[in-house]
Amino acid sequence: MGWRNFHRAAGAAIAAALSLSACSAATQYTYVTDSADSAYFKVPPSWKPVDQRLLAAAQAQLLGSSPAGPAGGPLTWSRAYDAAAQPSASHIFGTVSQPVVYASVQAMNPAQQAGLSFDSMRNLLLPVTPLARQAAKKAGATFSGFQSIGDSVITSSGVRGVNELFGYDIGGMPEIFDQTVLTNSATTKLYLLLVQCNQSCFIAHRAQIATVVRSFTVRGS
Amino acid sequence: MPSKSAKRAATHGGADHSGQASSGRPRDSDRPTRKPLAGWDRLKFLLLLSLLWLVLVWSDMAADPIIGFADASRDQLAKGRWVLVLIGLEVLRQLHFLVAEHWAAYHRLWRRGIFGSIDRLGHRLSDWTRFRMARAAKWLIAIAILALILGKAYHTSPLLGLFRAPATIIHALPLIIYVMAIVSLGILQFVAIFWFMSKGGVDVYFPDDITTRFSDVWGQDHVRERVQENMLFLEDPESIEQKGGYVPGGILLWGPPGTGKTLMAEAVAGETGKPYVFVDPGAFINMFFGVGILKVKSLFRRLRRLAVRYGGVIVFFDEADSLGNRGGGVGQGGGVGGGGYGPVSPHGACHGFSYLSEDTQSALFARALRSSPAPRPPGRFRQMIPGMGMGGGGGMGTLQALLTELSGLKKPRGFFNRVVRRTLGLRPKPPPKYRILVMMATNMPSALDEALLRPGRLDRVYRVGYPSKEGRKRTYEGYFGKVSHELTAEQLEHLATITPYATGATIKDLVNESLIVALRDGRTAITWTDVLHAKLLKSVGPSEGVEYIERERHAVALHEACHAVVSYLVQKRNVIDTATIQKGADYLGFVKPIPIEEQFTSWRNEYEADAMVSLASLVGERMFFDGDSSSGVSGDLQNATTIALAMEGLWGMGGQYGSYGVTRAPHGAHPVADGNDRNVLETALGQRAEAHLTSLAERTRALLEERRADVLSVGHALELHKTISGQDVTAIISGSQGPLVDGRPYKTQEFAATLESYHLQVLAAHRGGDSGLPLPVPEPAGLQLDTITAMKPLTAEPGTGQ
Repeated sequence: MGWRNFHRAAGAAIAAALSLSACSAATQYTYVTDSADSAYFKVPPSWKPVDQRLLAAAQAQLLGSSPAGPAGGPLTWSRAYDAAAQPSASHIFGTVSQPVVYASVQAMNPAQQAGLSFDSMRNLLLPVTPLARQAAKKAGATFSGFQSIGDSVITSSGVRGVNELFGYDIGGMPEIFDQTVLTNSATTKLYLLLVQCNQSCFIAHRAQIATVVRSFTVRGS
Repeated sequence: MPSKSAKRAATHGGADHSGQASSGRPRDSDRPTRKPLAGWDRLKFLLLLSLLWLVLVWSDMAADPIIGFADASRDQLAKGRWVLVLIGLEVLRQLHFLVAEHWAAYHRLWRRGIFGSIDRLGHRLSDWTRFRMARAAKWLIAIAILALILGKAYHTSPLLGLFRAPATIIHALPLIIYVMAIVSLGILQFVAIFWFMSKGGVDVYFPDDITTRFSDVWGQDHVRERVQENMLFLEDPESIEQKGGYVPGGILLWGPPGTGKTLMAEAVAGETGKPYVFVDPGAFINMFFGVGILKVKSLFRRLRRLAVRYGGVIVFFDEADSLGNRGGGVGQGGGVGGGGYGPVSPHGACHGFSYLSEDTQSALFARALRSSPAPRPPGRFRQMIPGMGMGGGGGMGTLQALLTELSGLKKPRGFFNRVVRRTLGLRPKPPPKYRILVMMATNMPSALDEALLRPGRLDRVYRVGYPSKEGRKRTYEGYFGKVSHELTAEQLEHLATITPYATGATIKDLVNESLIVALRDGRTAITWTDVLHAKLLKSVGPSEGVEYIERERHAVALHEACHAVVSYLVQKRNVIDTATIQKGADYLGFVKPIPIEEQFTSWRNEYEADAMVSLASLVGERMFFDGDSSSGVSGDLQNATTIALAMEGLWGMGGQYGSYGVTRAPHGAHPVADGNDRNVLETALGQRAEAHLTSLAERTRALLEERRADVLSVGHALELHKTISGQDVTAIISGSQGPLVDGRPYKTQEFAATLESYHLQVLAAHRGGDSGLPLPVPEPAGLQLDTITAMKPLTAEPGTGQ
């Protein structure tokens, strides 16, 4: 290698090294991973994680009898991210003006496994289907202002499930929920991703929310 | 005073380096700047680290399917920062090299200022301390790497990872044992076999273990002095190294068996106070290929460690011929002359050639060895069996490995020295000076590989020959000093005289045998008689107890008497030690002379005397038995013919100047009488030899006719006593009193007539086949063999009674 060539090569190497060092180490998204259950999603870096202990307390309080809680089977993993300046577990299922995302993986008990259907997935947290809403009404539930915005069935790469976009009035304010529920091919696990915020917030953060929901990936097994 | 560059040239062994410095490639140490690196060397680590970083990015992407390359790269900028640090360091290193390649002052600063200071600092420590520090550093780095790996594996700090590892190992112990048990059934057994086989055969003795000193080595003063010189260099290497020389690293001691080679090596170890490593002759004979190489490398690794630790080490390869010879080797040379006192009889003759001079014995012995080679598998066969079997000493790379280790003691060693220093751009340091004295001993030097003997490997070759008379006397004194005896100094000196080829081993054996004889008689102190009994037993061996019929006994006795009388008359530099007609394993009887004094040249008249003594048996038989003769002379004739052919063809003792020695075959084969040319007697050479033998036979006949009465007398004494000493032969011929036989009656007319009459009766019986004959007994009767206790020490005087 000649002297001139070497200069070029050395210069390129140094430039490459310096440019690598100069790059910002911050990623564009925060990547949330459950390696054990092969569940992945990403959130904007401005969304902050909710404290796990507080999240566990909220789960016990809010999902005590829900099939999405311990009643449906033990929760093996759960995470929550909040776009609010002060992330809080109370924002989940509440009325919030900043998006909040909740994700969980549940090892279903036999009863839930036996009754699992696309409708049961849709009604996992709140009554969405007409029958479920009627039943809730008969049972004295106070939910009102239901609006169905979108519904799609997901069947790909070894998982099945539904994505449901709907709204309810909570505390007099319309709250929008983007709920994705999936199960693996063996129907042993239930994957949930829920993004919520009030209507104006949802419209304002539509693109971010859509990115989060689209990133939700479960590798079938 | 030589200049530094001249010294450097001399150190590197290049005689013309200084003179050709301008035309040859400059030495790296002579360059003002650093030697430029090749392009690949500049970039290889950068490329490697870049590749490593890409692998980490790929790993990130593989672990999370939703992360893109850009985010994975950004992620690795944070998580894989250590790779970037390494890349940065490599860039700095290359910049450092680049500057050093173009800026002499910068290069000098690093080479002499910084690295030089570090080197000087290091050299303040002893070799052993540096070795230990390097070993400790290796361990620390290995532990640190292990800690990092464990920390990663346990998702904890490296330190905690180290503490958690034992628990994991204990937890996994059943599984490990299970796996090991399975593996041990397969691969591990081979590993174990190789490991075990690469051990053993090497014994290390530390200074206090060895009590042998030079004062225990007797009779080899000349070799001892030379070896002591080597020892001085081992103790004080600077004394020669500061003057530009080097410590000779190897000594080969060769010579006949039992001459004290091993003892000498032990004495060296005992005197120096250095560890002594004894390598068993069988250490390198293995079943599997490669084990010998492993052994050699393991041995030298241990030697280097001992040398650094104790400031020197001595390694002794006993029976070095077992190392083999790549060229097939002679291997059959053999020690000429043997080590004992016994007769050697290659031809199964009546008495072998024990009455011949040493040189003649040498020639005949070598021929006898060649005529009956030991069975050996063909060389090709040995080379074609792979894997196992046929494990030879020097084969299979063992010898080559040994040669490499012997000349490779000056190579840089160690991972840090060779790899880390080179990575930092430093020249590997030469190893410490390993003071390893390699000693080898063999009785077959011709079986050693030539490369082993070159200077630098085995610098000095010493022959440990048969001890001189003074040495033998000292050895006798030494060994007799350890037992109870009644021998006088004069007797010990005489014993040394009459055992000319005795070695330390045979002398020790003789003393022990004498002690056994004394103990058998219920005594604890050895007497002169015990020594003579033991010597006779060692010379003749136990008698087979065979009784000849009278006429055969008479014929054998006359046969030996002819040898004895002619030997007495013509072999001026020998005296007869023993004459016997006791039948042994491969002889009917023999006459054994011993040299009066040590001599190193042989003359024509001596060879002629030897040939005449050989021919005496045939000439005598024809003379006494009316032209008849026995087959018992066959060996004598072979000896005489060989001598005559060599005199004519090799030694210029015949009618021509030219020598057949120019056609000498390898391995010392006799060019004119090696048994290969069956027509040698029909050639002009053979005819001249025959003419010479005829002339010598005539001279012998004249002697025997003149001394007919003496032959009959000696023959009678042999018939009567079976074994008589040389002094008795002299006494009979001179008519005096001998130790065993009174020779005076033999000189009376009456008894001479009786003997002649007796012979005529035997001759008549020989013709008629009658075997029943009375044996006449002279008056007064000779002493019986039992009266050997009355024997007095012989005083060997040249030409006594002749």
